[in-house]
Amino acid sequence: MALPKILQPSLTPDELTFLAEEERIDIVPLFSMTRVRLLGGIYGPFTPPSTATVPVWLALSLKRKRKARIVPPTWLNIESLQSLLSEEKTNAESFQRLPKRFIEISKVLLDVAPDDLQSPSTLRSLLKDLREVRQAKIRLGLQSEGVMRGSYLQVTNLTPLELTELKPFLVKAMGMMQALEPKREEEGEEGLGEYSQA
Amino acid sequence: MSFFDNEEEEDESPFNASVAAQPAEPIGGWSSAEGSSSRYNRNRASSLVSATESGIGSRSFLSRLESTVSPHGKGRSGGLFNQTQDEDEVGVGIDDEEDDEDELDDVSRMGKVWVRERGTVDVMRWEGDLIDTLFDKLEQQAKMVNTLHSDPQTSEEEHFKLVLVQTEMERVKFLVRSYVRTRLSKIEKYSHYIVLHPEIHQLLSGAELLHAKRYTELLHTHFQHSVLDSLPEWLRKMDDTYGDGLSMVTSPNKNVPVLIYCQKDCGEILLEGGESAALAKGTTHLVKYSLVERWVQLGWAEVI
Repeated sequence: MALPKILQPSLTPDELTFLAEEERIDIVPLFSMTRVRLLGGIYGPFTPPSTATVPVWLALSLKRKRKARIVPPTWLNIESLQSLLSEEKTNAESFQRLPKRFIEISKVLLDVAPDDLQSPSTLRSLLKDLREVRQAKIRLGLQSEGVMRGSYLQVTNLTPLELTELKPFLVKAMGMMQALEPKREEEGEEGLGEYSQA
Repeated sequence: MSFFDNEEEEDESPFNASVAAQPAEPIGGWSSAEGSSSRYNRNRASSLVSATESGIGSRSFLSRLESTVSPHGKGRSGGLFNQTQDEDEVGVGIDDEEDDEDELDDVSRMGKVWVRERGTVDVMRWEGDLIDTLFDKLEQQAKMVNTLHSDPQTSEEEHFKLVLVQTEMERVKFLVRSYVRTRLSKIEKYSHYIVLHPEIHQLLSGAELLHAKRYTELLHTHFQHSVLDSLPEWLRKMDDTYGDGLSMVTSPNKNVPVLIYCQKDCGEILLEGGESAALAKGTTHLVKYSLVERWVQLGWAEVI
């Protein structure tokens, strides 16, 4: 009740984007302003030709007011995305480590500041390819034998957003598997102990 | 015996989680300005009036919390170091990419605390100090905003800054609000369990504990009046344990898996069936909460 049911299983994509907006990014301001002191830190001064580092939400807010140009993060360009994609494809066994809050930040930047990126449409399709390659891997991984056995899964290098997609399903599936698994004696007793305490 | 929460499943399946968040329903008395995160993403042309209004509304709510912050207990982690762990490894070689807990500003810490609360099944320690600091800062900012707004001398640049300050304040308020609501929902769910277990009390703030107690009382009185009083005496108990060991008291199910990211090397954990899994630094795992509880509480493993 206090927390709507839809929010309970895990963080929503919107909430993850909210968190991603706390990350730092460079901007080139188009106006001058002295420093501004916020709760998260002091940002500025903003003097047009030089860059300033601010949180993403601030950058987006300035961008929407046409008061700044966003300097895209180093990984958000065609070359590095292409190399990420090809590595992702060649390495079928594991996932590439992606920059922090990769999907969320690229999404908001493409939405709000496409004119600050080089050929946003190519970027968009590269990002989509990357996502699809990873999704295919996830699906394959889940089909493979033994993954769902027990209650443990290593998910290194999956992004929070991908995990958010997976978590409700996995949590439920693991619960079913645990319930179906034949109980060992000691486990049963442990469980009893816990409950009789309660 | 069901493994995940003793309550019944409603048709709202967890799969809906990927659907974009809808604005949370306002709960009477808890918050005056309600909204989902998406609201904060929009470019908000926040009018001064609504900003101050929500400021006042949440402040009265905030001060209620402020006055009743319980001392946070570390006693719970007493037995932690019995576990096998290489103490020498503590704090060795933190990548520049990892954020150290101490270096984070309050807002980022609040974010982490919030994510941890959302990601786990049982009630975490109430971060009273952090919340207090944030409230103090918010109040200062609110005062500054009010003074500068009413001052005709304020330059246009200042006004622009004020908009930024207000935007950030709303973001922080959202975090705090969602944090408190998450805890509230857990506390109501496990209210009876909390009341029965004094060792958990130190994890809650004064207001939260009071709420848990009164909520349980109300609930039980209601059940008694509506149903239990007309039943034979041996069926009236609210804390019975069935023959199969299942208790009537809903307790946090620590077998629910959590997602953790290892900030430090957390050694190995033993899974059922004799297998073990290494929790190396920088790896992510989906694992039963009971197995990694101590690492989460130490902050070595970050819940995501």
